[in-house]
Amino acid sequence: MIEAQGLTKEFRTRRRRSVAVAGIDLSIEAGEFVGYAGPNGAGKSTTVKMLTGILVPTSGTVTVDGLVPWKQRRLLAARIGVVFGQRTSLWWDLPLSRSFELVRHLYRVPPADHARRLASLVELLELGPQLDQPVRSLSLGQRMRAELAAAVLPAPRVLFLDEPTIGLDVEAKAAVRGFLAELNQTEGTTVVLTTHDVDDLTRLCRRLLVIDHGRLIHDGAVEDLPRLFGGHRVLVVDLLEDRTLEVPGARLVRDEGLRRWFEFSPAELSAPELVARVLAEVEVRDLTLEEPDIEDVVRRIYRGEVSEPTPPPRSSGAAPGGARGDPPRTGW
Amino acid sequence: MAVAGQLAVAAVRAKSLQPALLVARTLGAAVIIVVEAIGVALLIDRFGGLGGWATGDVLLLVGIGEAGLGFGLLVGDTLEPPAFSLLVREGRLDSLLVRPVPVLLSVVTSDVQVREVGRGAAGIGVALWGAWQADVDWTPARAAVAVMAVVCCAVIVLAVLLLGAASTLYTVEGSEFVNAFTYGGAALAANPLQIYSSALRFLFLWVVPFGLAVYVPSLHVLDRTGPPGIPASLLVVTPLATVAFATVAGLAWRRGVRHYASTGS
Repeated sequence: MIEAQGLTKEFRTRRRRSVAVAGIDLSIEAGEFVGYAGPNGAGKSTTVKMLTGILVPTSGTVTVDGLVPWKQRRLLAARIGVVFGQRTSLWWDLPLSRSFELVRHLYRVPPADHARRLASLVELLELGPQLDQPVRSLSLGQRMRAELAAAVLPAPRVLFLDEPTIGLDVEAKAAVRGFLAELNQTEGTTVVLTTHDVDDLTRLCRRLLVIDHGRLIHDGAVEDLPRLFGGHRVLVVDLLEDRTLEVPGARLVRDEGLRRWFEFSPAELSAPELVARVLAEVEVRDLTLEEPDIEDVVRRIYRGEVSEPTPPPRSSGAAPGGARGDPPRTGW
Repeated sequence: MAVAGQLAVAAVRAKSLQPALLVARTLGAAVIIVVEAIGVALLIDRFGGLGGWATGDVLLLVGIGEAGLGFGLLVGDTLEPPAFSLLVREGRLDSLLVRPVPVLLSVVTSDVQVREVGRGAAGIGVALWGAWQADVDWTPARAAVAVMAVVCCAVIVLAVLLLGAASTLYTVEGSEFVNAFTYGGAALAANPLQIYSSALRFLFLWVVPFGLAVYVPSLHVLDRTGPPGIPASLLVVTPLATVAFATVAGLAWRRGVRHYASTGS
């Protein structure tokens, strides 16, 4: 469905050149649900813009559903859906139902098909009460569900999502994720999900691509995910008084003032059990469970923890090939 | 074309959500044009003509020019420097690029300034007032020429805006330079070309052809032969020059979009 070889994008300004995407090879089959992750400025959005035809690659080849995106942008647009998390493709001042009607005209969906599909999407995404409201009055969560409905209405073969859960609360994230999983399963829609959110990846994707400094540093199946994310979590403990604290089964990794960071492995020690052990020892002001973030994942990949069968203890392992020197970052 | 209609209707509907505001702005746009026309009329009355043209003759020019500008802005307001520059910088252009319709259609229908109808209508009113003062004998041929003049003028306004938008795709920062040609061009074309230096005449006939769109057709409506160098027979060139200018602008726009796509900024 998506093929890319040596896909590269350089941005030139008067002063200097920066390489946003530095030669990516990709092959994504129809029906896959692929997570595309990486730190800010790693080249995620730039890649998606090349796959959707918004940007012309500097070099390399790319096809999506047999089309060359930048040459056949409009043709491709009819077959794909794109959701940019921080932009709207809806008509801001008009009732939501009007946006859906305009999408029908834009994509020339036959009225009967449209009505049937819209009805099921509205039910699935619980948008009924919002149909008559102007888009600008919707909450962020409601709007994102509406964006998804609009993107999916024309039954795209590929759905590109750029940070669709950014800024959403837990409930809204769950709604978006549930919908995407269902869409991928029932319709076989190929989904490319760009995200910063580790939860999005672990809950949705069957394959994970990690990009950093414009290069793919990991391309692995769902089996790698526990090793990538599941290995460790961190409990942050705010103490009432400064004292030493040791908890069996967890490792103190940071210590600042009254705050302690304990790393633990959920497979060996559950979070409630750890909390119980901490509370048995001391009185605390606050407890926070930190989710692993994508930067952690990138660090683990560089440390070689991903390709090893068992995660080695924190030790050697600088970046392969010194790739982290002088990062050619371009902000998106 | 059905898509274009739907998108345009949606844009107009968005504007008519506040009907009182819309009416006030439309009337305001119209009143400005009428007041300006009255000012021009008083000035020319005081001096007894402009380059041999009486008040009514000049008002016909002013009216056609303003009508063309109004209808041009009605369609192409989103291409104006500040608005279009914002569209690019906020990344909204990206969303428009992944629609299966020409991106220009999506851009112009993203926001339609309905109030410009006021300017267009007032322009037509001023032109009719001028024609009445000039005792124009309205034959079907003359009426057709007048309509063509308004259409060509609007197309040239649009083309100038499109050139400006294309340059914004290179620079991101919109340049107000364009306004010198839209507003300035329409205002200059509202005077009889014979009062200008040969350089300006050349500019408005053969570079940005407002003169061909407004002045030359007016010669026909007023039954004049035209000054030396600008014969009324140039009328046959008017639609050709308009199409040529619009084509150049369209090509520049396409290049601009391609450039944007290769820089992404």
